[in-house]
Amino acid sequence: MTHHISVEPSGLRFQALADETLLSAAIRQGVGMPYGCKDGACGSCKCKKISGTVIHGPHQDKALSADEEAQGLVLTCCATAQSDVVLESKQVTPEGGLPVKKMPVRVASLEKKSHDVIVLKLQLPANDVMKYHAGQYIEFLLRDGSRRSYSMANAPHTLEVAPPTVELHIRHMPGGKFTDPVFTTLKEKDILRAEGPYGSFYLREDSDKPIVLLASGTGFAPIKALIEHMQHRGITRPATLYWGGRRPSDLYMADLVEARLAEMPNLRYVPVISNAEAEDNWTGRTGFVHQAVLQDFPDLSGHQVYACGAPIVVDSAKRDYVARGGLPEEEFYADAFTSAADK
Amino acid sequence: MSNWIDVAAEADLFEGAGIAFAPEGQDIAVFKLEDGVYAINNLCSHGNAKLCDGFVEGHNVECPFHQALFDLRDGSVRCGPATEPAKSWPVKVEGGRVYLNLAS
Repeated sequence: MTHHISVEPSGLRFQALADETLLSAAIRQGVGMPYGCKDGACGSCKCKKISGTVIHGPHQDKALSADEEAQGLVLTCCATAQSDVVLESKQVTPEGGLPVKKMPVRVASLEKKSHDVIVLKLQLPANDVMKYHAGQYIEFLLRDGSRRSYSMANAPHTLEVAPPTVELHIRHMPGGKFTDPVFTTLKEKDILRAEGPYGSFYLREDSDKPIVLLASGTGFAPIKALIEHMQHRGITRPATLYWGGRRPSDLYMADLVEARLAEMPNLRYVPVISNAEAEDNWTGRTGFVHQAVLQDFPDLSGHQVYACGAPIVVDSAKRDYVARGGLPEEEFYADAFTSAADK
Repeated sequence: MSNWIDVAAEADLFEGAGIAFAPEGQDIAVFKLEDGVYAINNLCSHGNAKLCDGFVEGHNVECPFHQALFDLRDGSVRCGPATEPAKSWPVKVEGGRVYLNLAS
């Protein structure tokens, strides 16, 4: 009995026999699924099952917990297909085609930019420096096997200056097993483990459409990388940045944006605050950031939108821009961060 | 007659972690710690794991798959489930280059 397996979003397909694991079948047919131990221990091959039925062989709970299995996650190294199966795995995405690598990273600096945001700079190994597209992200590999995703906030050309360093913007999630240590015990020179790059959120340079950049909170990080990249490459497409926060202090790098405005005539900036207090003396735009875009651009049919931030903002933006602004759905770019409540 | 093989620039090492190199078809993880540079086989002697991906604690590296602990100074097992030591290689750093003695 043979089952058809397909992998989204790349659309790659292969066939799996009843007595082989999904991973063995993929490897046998030259489909590059991620994996590590091939033994149900490391979790590197974990991916999401969109449809179909699988049976898991023995594996460690830290690689795939019962909860995760119930949520539809699978370990391809010990799962056999019981039906046709559709998986989701960003790592096989051919787009970009940059190699994903594991690496140690060293804390170069920690700078608190607001009451709940730290800018973390990490030094990368100098041999075989990671290559990425502006807007992509890396995952931290935590010791218990779980992962946390963060976007690079600097454009890749900045890595040419030694030592190669990436910048991440970390918001504190109280009680979070990654961000609690970042805000309390993490210090310079500490070593973390990371893997990347991941993600399909990067500037489509084959288009000359005007751009809307939409960020909420630390969703500004990959947007900052896009802006740096545009400046570096001399891309002069009109771009308007909408950055939303609850209070003005949530726009933790407003000064940096202002500096870019002076250098980039094609860039506009609209900060939007939803919960200003009297003491903020806020005189700028108020309300929800994704709505401000539609107020200014009721017709988005000729635009590209790049959005990053809280899922509620990104999801609402996509829905409204497509339905009410006439934005072609495929011109809305966002990485689906489930913003894994960092627990 | 020298058996020392030049495998990397010292600047390619990463203090506090392991970096894998492949001199002469070998797979060797080189760790730079505060007190020196150590080299052991990259492949865990127990499972199909790369020790260069493990966390370093003191002089030990923890296998990322099954949490076996190896002493970086001699490759010995400090904690199971591994039972076989990881082969340890003589290493020296001179003139900004890292050398391994693969004949040992």
